[in-house]
Amino acid sequence: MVSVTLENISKRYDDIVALHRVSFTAPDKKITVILGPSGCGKTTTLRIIAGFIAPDEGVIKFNDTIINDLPPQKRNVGFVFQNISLFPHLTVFQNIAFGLEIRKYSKGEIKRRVSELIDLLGLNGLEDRYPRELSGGQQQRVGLARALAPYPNVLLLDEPLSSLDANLREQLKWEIKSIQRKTGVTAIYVTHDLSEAFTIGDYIIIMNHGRIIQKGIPEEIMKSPANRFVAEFLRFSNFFEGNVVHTDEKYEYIRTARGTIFAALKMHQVNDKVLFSIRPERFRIYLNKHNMPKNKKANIIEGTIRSIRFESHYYMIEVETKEGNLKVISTEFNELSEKYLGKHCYLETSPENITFIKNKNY
Amino acid sequence: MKVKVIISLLPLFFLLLFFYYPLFSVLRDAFLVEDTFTISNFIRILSSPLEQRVILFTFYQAILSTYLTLVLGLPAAYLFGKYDFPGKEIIRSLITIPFVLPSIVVALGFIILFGENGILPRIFSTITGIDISLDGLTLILLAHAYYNAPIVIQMVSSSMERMDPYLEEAAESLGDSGIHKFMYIFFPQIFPALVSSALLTFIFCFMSFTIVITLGGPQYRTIEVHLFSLYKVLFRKGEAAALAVLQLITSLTFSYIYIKSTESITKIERLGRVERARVEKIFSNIRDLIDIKKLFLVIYFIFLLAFFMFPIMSVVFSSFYDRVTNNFTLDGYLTLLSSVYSPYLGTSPQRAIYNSLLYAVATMIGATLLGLLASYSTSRIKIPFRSLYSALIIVPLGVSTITLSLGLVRSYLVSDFFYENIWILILVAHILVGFPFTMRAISNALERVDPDLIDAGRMLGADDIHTFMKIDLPIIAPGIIVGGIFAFAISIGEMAATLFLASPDYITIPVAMYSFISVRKYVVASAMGTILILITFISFLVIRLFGEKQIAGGF
Repeated sequence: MVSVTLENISKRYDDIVALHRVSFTAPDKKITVILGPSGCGKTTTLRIIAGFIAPDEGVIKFNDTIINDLPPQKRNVGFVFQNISLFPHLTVFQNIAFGLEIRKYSKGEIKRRVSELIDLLGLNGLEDRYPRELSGGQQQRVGLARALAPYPNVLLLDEPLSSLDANLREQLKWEIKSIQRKTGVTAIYVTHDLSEAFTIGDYIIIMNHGRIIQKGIPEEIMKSPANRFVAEFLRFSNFFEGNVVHTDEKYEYIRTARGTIFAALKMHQVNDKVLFSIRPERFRIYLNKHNMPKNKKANIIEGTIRSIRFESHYYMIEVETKEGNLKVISTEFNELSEKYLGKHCYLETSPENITFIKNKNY
Repeated sequence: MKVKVIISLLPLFFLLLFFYYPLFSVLRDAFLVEDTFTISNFIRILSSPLEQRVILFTFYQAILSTYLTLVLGLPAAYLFGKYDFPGKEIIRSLITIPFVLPSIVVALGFIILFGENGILPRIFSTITGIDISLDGLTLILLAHAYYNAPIVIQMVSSSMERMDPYLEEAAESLGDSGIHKFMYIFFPQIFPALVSSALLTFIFCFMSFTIVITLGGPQYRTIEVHLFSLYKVLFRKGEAAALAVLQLITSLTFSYIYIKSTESITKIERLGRVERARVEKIFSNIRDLIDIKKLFLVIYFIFLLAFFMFPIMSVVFSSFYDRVTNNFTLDGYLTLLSSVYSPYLGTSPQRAIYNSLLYAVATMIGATLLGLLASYSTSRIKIPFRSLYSALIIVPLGVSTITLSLGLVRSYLVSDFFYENIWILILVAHILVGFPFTMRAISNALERVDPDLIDAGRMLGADDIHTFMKIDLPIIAPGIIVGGIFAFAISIGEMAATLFLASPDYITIPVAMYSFISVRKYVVASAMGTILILITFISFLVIRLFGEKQIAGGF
């Protein structure tokens, strides 16, 4: 198997910069996810690796071999398309066998390999059907089998689940992950869907405006987003700015412009300016001060409940505080209703829940 | 890479040799007199009262024909687009037949049905005692409407069916209804299709030859017919060339506008592709017939079918019935199969049939290959000066058949080789006439191939040849077949170029029919017409079989 390395890849279309000095290495035998909003350049990156688009600058390597000049059909790469794009005039069997036939495998070898993939993807009994006779999920399984059949070095997946409905998406993303584990193929997976990225990815690259903003393993990225864009894209909210005013051996204390003091795990020096976020589900909300845990190091903010919104399996509560309106998620309010609107409340969170954003700019 | 260059240059080479060079010869004739540049030919043409009348009449009849075509076609288009009823698809298919019917057959049908001593005037005079027959102009207009109404019906009704039904509902929910809704919501959506189909009709009528020369007699002649006699009868080559150039400028201009107008249709399509338009079901049961409005619809459709079917049926009928002796006869078919020399043709009828089939098969192969190479080049190969290439390829569509034949004669008939093998030029003319249709059918099919499929093939290791053989070809096969059949049908019905070029031994069925019609041998002419109807009908069925809903190979 191979690792895929991009070095300083740039691509322009007229005045638009599609990619600017993109560099990363997709490690061998792992799934690398490229995540970002639409138009961020993630699909262009994938198509450059596939060979459909030539970069203006930069080097693409499979292991240590530069493959810039290799045409797509010689790169031995599997590609799974957003629109699935099965050959409409071929059966499931013929679709999967397509790449093997072109590579002139023997009849027996083709038959063996195709049935191996049909077993792997649970397509048994569908061999002689045409794509139009399959469900969306079955079609994309065939798409996956077709891409894997000729033993590709690398598997590229371009938003493979976005044309499917939600339940199917959930199921197939686990399947893709397990198939990648079984085959050990190096995979690069492009998506704009956060949960897909963090479920599937061993390694995540976040892109915006044709540049890489952050790359790393999923936990790392969640623990410390590179900037406000990443934080917001990862659905962080409740942002605060402040100065570190005091530190002790375990904690640091930050004062915001409005005068609230937050305790956080120690990461900075006194006088450092910091940007941080507390995710809505990290707050606990109390109506009564006496119910709050006593013996714990905690940050407490007072406020007034301004709105309560029921979202399929939790409540989204907006609390007005002197730090501005904060979002809080609670699953505990049993019979939330209008009677809580305007009530005084306390928001509590522990220092561990404070996530620093490395760069204050977007 | 080398192969690709050859592929994209082959069609261009063919066109340069057999289209642009002949066209250049026409230009040379028009502007050069005794090797000096002059516009005297144009001045002579434009100042002559005869030619002035011809030019004016050409526009006059084309405008009237287009108008009549719209009057005839639009109500049907509206009903097809708006309502659903039993037998709709069959009726719709039946009324598209005229478009693939050879124009000489249409002309013959109208002569037999409406002309002097025709079936309808006879019935009319038996009932009322009054003798009437339609004059040449009326016959021309009717035949043009008959020929072109299918285009209007097909283009407009399918644009209605592509309309976004939510738009009308949105308008209704905003309180819009009646005339206002029609004018502001409905009409703008079908307008591009309406304009395109009217333009196409105008172009066809403007360059129409066979119908005018057969039905118009000596007093009604268009530029195209006049070109024919200027060169063939009077041999005034300079003036013929000048008139051809004037016609060329006009037809190319209108063709350009037409092509631009079809682009706006596709744009509208792309905006609203949510769901198929709602069609209202009428006649769900027999009691609906009591409803006056619906009964009216039934009567209208019967009239429409009659209008489209009677000329065809009367040709078939008159092939068995001699209206001079008032007897049923098989003479027509016996004459047609005989290998005896006919003084009217200068050869045997059998020979004409043999020639027709030979040309048609060769044209089918030639035009399909040419269309395949050209459309593959424009949609699959990255060629430099792509838009120039496409323009060079599309121009033959806007050039009249007589101009083309004139060019071929002026550039090639000077050599003994072509003089002795005139069939080559006839075949070339047939291929050039059929080529825009195969080109269109195949490039439409090619452009509908999902580009991801090509990428998928490449990812799986397919090179260009694999991609073409294993992905493109199987997917576009129906388009190729439809284009090929169209070329076959066009060749077998082609008259203008063959009449212009052929010496007696090389004539085809339509030319033979024309000769028989000139001497009022309607039984033999109809027998030949019936053969053509049969062939056309089979071609039509094959085209339908391959699910091509658009007529004229995607025009």
